Amino acid sequence: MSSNVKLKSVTCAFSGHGKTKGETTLALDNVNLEIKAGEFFTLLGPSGSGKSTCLRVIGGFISPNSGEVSIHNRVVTHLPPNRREVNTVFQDYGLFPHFTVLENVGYGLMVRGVKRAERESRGREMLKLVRLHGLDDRKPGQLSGGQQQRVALARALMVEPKVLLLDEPLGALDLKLREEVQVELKAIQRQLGVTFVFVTHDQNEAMSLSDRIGVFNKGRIEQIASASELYNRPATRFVAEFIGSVNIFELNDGRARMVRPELIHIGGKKDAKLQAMVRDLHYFGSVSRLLVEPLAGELKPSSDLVTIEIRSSEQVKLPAHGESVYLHWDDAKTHVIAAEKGRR
Amino acid sequence: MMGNNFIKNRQRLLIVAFLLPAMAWLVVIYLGSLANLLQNSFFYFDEMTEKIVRDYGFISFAKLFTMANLRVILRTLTMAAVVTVAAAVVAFPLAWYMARLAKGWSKFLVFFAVMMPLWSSYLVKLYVWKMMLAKEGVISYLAAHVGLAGVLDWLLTLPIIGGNSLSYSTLGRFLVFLYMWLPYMVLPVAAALERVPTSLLESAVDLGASEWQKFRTVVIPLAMPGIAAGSIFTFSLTLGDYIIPQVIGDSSPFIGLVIYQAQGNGSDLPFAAVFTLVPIVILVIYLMIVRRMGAFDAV
Repeated sequence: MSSNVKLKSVTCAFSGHGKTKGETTLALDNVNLEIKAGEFFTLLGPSGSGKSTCLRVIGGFISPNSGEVSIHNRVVTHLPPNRREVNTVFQDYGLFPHFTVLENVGYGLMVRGVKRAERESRGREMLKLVRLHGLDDRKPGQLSGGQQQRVALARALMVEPKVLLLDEPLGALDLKLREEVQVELKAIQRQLGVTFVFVTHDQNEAMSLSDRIGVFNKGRIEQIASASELYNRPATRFVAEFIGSVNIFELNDGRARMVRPELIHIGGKKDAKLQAMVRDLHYFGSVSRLLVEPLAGELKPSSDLVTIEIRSSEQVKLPAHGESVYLHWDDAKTHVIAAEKGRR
Repeated sequence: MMGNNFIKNRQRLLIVAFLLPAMAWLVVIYLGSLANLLQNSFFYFDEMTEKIVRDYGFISFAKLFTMANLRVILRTLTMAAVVTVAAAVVAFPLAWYMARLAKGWSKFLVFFAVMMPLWSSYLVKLYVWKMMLAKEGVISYLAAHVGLAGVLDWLLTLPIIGGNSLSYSTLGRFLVFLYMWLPYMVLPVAAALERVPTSLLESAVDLGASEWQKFRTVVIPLAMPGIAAGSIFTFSLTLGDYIIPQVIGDSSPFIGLVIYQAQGNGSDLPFAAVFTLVPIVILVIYLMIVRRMGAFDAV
């Protein structure tokens, strides 16, 4: 597959205002990224990690201080948004309140000089694709959040971008609607074959939608990989801790062993890795989560409590609060994270 | 239940108590005098006896339809419209700068500069302008120094807007009106522009709009409620003013001046009342138009 979006050592610095005047923060610190054509690529990270800045650099709303951005093998580093073959779906949708739904969707064609009749017929087609019909003449203010989100998506897709950038597009929706739209979004992406670059801070959303995920932390990309790769073989502690829940045990050489909660099971004293006392027990239906406090053992956990996940289908008797248990796991199934600079 | 009602009644009483002074002002003094005005307009002034005849009829209304009076109305209306359009054009870039570009200190300074003229007396500003516009005034002095004296002289030879000097021309009148009411346009337009979400402007460019297309299809429509709100001020203030036309320009009267004179020397109060109804009717029509443009949705 050909590469569609390419970032070469992109750095973006913001100078502070008011109290932080004179200080500069690196929103993006030497970011390298290659997104393949037709890929669903997610930029994942906590707020302030640089993921949105990265999207805005690709969209053309921010000019990087150094580095190079290319889209479809054309360098676009300093081109304005209207001269790039990418479109953005904004977090607050950015719908024009004075235009109807159909006029909003047809806006991109209107500024390109396409006749009204064609604009409207193509607009109706696109609205059908995002499963929104019969609302053509409404104003955005008369629509629900989910409907507005679809209009924004339809409007961006109308100009047939090679890459669609989505800036936390589901952030304003409630959970149930969110899951519904996730499924549709993925279906539309597959149907049209457009490259999606998706920004979110929600790791579950990222894992369920993406072909690959770039995990951001403090302006840097920590790892670019598929969801299962990130989950099972995180490159850094940050990735391990950001994706799913995790237990980390320090090894003597600076490396760390990562044990996912579902790999741990409770057993007898013989060959036990750790003895611990049950501190808390959460029942989630399909699984139960135990928080236990290590009592004795050679292992040094990086946090006070170790998390264990037990599937309800295993039908084991769960220990009671305050009970002492022995923890077991297979080291071969766990992952060891390499030593990091700046750590012991 | 009873306690609840008691509290509700008390709340209602409190609201009435707070609203009473304002409502009394509005109903008794404002609407009352308007009703009185309307009543007066049906009377007429007998020039033989120099007394007001309190018979209901349309004699005073008929006086409105003389060539001279219609000209006064047209002159005032044209000036109000031209001043409003010019104020919108001049105010827009300034409002844009204030709302979207200026930050911190520069923002404060521009707001201060726009508001400050409102703190000084209208008459002081007017007579300063009179001096600036005079033949020996600073404007013709500056024009001569930058080699634009010819342009100024040419402007003054033009019919309708020209005159002996700027201070005796309709052009001068226009400039003073524009200066006086400009802040009333700048502030609501700036407020409207400040409320435009950045993502709308970014969306427009993102979807391929040029800067000009963005301006025409997104910025102007979204600024329209602010422009409409500002125009209520510039339009009605020009329509009602009777001092600027007295001090600046040729002696051609505006509506306000005619009313002032009618109730002053001859005491043809019924005619003054009729003429007062003219700008009121114009304004009601104007307000209905700008209401449709959304001026009251976002002041």
